Amino acid sequence: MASTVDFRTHVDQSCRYSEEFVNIYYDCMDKKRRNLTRLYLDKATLVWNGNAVSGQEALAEFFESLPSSEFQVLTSDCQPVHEQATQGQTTLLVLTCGLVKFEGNKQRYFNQNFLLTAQASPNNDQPVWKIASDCFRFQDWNS
Amino acid sequence: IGFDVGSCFGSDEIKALILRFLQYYSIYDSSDRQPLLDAYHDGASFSLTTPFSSQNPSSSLGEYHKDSRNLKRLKDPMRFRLLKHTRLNVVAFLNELPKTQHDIASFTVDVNTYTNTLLTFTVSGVFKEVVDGKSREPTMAFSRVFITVPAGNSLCIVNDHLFVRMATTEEIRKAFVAPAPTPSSSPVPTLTA
Repeated sequence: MASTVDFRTHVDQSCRYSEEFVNIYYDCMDKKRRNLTRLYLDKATLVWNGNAVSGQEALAEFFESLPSSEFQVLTSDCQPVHEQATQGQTTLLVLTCGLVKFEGNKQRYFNQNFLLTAQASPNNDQPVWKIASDCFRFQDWNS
Repeated sequence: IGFDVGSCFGSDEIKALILRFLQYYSIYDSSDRQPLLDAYHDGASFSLTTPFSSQNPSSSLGEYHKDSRNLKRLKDPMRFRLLKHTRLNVVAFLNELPKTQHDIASFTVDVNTYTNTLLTFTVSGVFKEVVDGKSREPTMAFSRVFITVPAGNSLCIVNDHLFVRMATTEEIRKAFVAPAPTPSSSPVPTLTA
């Protein structure tokens, strides 16, 4: 349980998990888009420039509709989410900012944040992280 | 990818809750942020990030840049030091950040997650720094994620992340243009274009 681990250890672990996740997520987004929904919980929600997309099927359809991408992450940060908010379920808030070029579009800056929850993994002592929610916006979305 | 819309609240009930919560900014923009203690959970966390660039560190972002917790650039012990933890540390830190004036009319809110125990939302918009009671250029833009838990009929912040950058030309053009209250003393008839 997170509460019995000291906060510093918890923060250190969170940073490592977060960095791993960020690498996997954008690599998948750019190169293995078909596998991307595997990173999401069944009932996950994505809010993309103010549009909500929920559930595996809708997410798959949405990602299919996006042109191919080249993401470049410039900053990332991460916080362990307080357990009172998650009923003890280990959860991380992961935040990124960077540049993205969608094919046929100009390169734009974006901000994105994720809530990741730890899923127990039967044959591994490391948890498997799944996206519970994802919020994406272009920085210049309203210009 | 072009279908951009404004705020995404989820429901009217959540919208009302968040709009009430956004009074947070009337305290955040005041000369003393200490009363924000009431808005945070004892075990709250806060961190901020600025875009990484080689730009002149003497720009207004400099005040934020020195505390930017960018995991792509930082190693321990800075990673740990820049994550503010517990209510007192968070509010003490916020109180040290430059005084601000936010343009509430510029705000966009995205609700990320809503359960019985948590409400997570992202607020974006623009603000200016305030020095000696006067707002000054340049305009800056922010994106802030609040993770909150229910507290009576309001919200209590458990996680808070602030991203700050310079505003774009377009954002500066649109900023702080919401109509000011009509002066009632003026007898001059107004012409509409």
